[in-house]
Amino acid sequence: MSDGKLGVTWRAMLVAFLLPLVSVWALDLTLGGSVGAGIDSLPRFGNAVLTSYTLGSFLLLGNLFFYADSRQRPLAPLVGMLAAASIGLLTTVVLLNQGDLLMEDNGSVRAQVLYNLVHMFVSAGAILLALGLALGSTFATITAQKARRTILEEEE
Amino acid sequence: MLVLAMTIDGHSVDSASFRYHLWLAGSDLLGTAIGLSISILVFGLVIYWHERGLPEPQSVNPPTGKELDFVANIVAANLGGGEDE
Repeated sequence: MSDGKLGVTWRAMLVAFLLPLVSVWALDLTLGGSVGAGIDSLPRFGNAVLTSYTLGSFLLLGNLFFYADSRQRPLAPLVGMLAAASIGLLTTVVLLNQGDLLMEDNGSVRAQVLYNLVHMFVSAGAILLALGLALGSTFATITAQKARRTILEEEE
Repeated sequence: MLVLAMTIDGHSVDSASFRYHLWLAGSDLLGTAIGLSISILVFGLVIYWHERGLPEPQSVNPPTGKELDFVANIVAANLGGGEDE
């Protein structure tokens, strides 16, 4: 693909990603809403970042065992990834203990952590469902097209 | 559906509440994507740093001039072939 077509494709993908978001944002502002649901969306965003980072790190820590199988089982990357995941866990607990910084409508740190985990699984399920729908509809669109006939020109 | 729920009050949730929770869901999804991206980046950095710290694999010495002459003689003896025809 030439550079010009590649640039157009990237721009089209960016517009396709941003246009629905901007439309919803514009509609919300038109109807009198505040940007990002006010200050309430910041704790939700922070909790989502920390929870997904910690869970993702533990998931990738398990993935490192397969890496270790092909590298004579080194311990250094396992320890490094365990430290990275532990930092995420520690940061979550420390920030949750700082009062209203990350706490939502939950009474204790333990309740907030459990709330984050359940929320994370629900969000991950929604993302996977959306991904499956997008892939399925794309596949259906591609297979529904008529088969292209290849016309071979006669050689002179 | 999204636009209807944002503009029309329903039995269970009014439009203002729906818009409020829509922003919360958006920040939740964005935070999840960023957190996962950071964890994948850290995973790659851990493997990169580990691989960079490994010693170089043992390698054979480069060929000497005598060995190169020997190989050149063998190659020269097996090239050509026009004389046999």
